[in-house]
Amino acid sequence: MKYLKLSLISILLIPVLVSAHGPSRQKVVQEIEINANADKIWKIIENFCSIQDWHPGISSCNADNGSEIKSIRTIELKNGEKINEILFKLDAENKRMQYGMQELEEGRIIKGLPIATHGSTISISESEGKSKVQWKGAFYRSFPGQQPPAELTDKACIEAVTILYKTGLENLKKLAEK
Amino acid sequence: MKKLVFFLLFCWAHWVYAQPYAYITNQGDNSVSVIDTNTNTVIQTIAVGHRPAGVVVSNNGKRVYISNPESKNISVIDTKTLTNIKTIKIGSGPLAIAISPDDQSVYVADWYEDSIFIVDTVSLSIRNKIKVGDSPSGLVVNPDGQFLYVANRDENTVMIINLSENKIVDTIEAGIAPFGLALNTKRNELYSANVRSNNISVINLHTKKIMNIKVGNFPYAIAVDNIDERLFVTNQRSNTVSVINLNEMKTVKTINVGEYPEGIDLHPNNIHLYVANWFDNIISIIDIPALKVISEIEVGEGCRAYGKFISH
Repeated sequence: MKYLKLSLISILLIPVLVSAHGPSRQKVVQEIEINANADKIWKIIENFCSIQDWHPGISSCNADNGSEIKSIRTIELKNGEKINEILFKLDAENKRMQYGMQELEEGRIIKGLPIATHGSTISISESEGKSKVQWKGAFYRSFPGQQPPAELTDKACIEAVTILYKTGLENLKKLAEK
Repeated sequence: MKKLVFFLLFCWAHWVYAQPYAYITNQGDNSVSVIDTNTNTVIQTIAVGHRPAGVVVSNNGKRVYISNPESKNISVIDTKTLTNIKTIKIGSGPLAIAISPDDQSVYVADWYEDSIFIVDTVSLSIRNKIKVGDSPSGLVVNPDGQFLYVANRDENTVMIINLSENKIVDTIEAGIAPFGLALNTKRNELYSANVRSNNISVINLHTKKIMNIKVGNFPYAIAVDNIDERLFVTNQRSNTVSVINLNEMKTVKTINVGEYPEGIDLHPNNIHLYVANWFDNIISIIDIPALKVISEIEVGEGCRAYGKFISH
């Protein structure tokens, strides 16, 4: 029995022989013009977990240390998938927030958002009473091999992230222009 | 006095190297931007393979070798005509690339096959293949051509290969996810940028002892300044370059650059550093005496320039 246990453990300890993600990093940039001043928009997004209120694609959020640097939030997508994200920078003066996905467990692929090593920045700039909100990010596809199925390709990942950013920004515009 | 030495070095550099060029791989455009570093303008854009990343300029300045991970080949550029003269099929995911001091061999790390391919630069064909660790990502050759150093990203080690026998002679534990490597022969030290532990491992090649120095987030590549014994490290997630003083063994300054800085190389004038900012499609030029960005050059989509990309 002890022998069996040991051999089971050693099977678990065999290193996985594939890399953690796809070969080339991808990027997505989305921008939206909002008829509101930057302060008003920043108030909506400045709390790290307020994303559950302003993003229609995210149903819940819990953060382990509020909006402090290195706080980890767990966001839940509409399909029930949960993702951990770490706050890197919160620059209230320049209205800029930078965060990144916590590394996924080996082999995990998030349904509907098949990306890995996601780093992201949301920033607001204002001129003449109007604001521009930019959401940009860099990521890899999480499929590690060379021949991903159609729903896990770089292209599919770019589409998924574009939708994530776009739907968020459109709803943010709605809320800010109210 | 120091200023005079710099000035003389600068003149000498200009006299010997009429036109140092910087060859920048543009991942999103499948091209290489050629920058004339005298005018700091892009003078040519050369089509290469799919998603080019790695680059190395031959020591005699006649050729540039580019790795194209997604078309699984390397492109050979002739620097006289600035054209792509040959494409060589390599493994499954060629990324890091380095060249022997005599320009006879090009070393290519294959991310998927966990191997180093050795390419003969005369016949332009593969001469040998050496099995290494998981996801080899960084390569550097020592100046006498005897040893090749390999960073194995997914097993947190650096390997030493004896090139006369093509054999692994040592494996050293580094930080987490070692990527870019650099060598300092004056101090007999090897450096690895550890993406996941946000530090630089300083490996004493005589004692094989390791010291780690904290830098920014996701350190990627390293340039060595031999005159003042400093390291310059790109931090992808911090959008900075860390300056490490090797005598104090610590980060002494942090320079803001563009977003996702990746490749970094020292100009032969020893005064300027070129940094490729992947997200912004911009090359930042850092003035070393002033330790700040003095100029920017727009290049192609997703510039990476991972390797020794400036001709000497």
